[in-house]
Amino acid sequence: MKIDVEVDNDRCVGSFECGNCMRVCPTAAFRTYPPEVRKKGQIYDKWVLTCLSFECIGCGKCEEVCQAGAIKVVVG
Amino acid sequence: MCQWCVEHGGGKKWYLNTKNYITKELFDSKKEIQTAADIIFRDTERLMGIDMKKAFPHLNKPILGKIVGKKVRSTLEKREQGQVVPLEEAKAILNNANMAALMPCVCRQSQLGITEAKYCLCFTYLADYGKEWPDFARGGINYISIEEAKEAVERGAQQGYVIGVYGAPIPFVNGICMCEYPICMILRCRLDYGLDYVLRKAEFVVNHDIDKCTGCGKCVSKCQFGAIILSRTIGKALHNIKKCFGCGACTYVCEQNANSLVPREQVPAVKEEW
Repeated sequence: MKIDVEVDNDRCVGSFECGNCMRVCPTAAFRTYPPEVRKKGQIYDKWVLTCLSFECIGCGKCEEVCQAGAIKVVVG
Repeated sequence: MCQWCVEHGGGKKWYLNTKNYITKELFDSKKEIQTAADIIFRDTERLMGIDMKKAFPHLNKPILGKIVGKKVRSTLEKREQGQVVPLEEAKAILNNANMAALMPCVCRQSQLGITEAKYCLCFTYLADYGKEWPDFARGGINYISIEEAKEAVERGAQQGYVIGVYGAPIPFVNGICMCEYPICMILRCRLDYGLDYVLRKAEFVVNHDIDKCTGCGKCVSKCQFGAIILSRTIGKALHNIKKCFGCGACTYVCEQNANSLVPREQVPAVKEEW
């Protein structure tokens, strides 16, 4: 069985602004990171949310709490 | 005594040797400390985001895991390594440090999106250097006195977090972390992926006095390493010292004082376990 979590970063309101999905994840499979390599003294406004599929157990909790509808859990 | 203490301790434990604390002169003269510091301040991305997706799924596979493991080792060894320390040792480390700052925890930022949780305790020159990384410190840096830092560590220990001292590269002490599984990336590297060089066990191990134990079970819930079980048959807690990391979390909650820490070298069974 292959589990995959698709995150639509255009719909996502931002991991520091909302972050509901990250807090309910029992295996802490979500990561957020700036899209480019960071340099000294730099601030990013947009961070990218991703889910490490090899950590995911497919419980679907993140899909339930996402108010923007940006997360889709695909099991199969 | 672990290998690091023998090499860098000068007769003491490596994290208590005052030579290993980063001053401005040491920071400016050694290129490898600067590189390591830069990597730490941006490792929310490097270590925990994209890089991990490539390497970590393969670590538990039989043949491929060995090859990938070697590569991960060579990169991680230059970056961040640490050792679990009990509360008393953490206070002794802070006595050696000249300044301290509480920073927002890297792991809680990258995995929970929380910037208010300040559990990364940087000290010596690195506390000052953190200012130059505004994105790392988006929750703000609190510059505090050594006494306040000791209180912060004590509070963390009371809440049941594992205290670790980190050096990047070994043996240059750069900070104290208070974290929990599964949020802490370093605990996770050790416990989930078996990267045993990233986090070492403490110089201590638990000594459980079974006569004093009443079987209340408070220590069982505090242990992050699954080393304690509550036996239904005899009605007491049983400590597996092979799994014990010597963090001391079980000693703070025990009302009967049944748990204490003893130096690891005095216990032959776990003398060589790091």
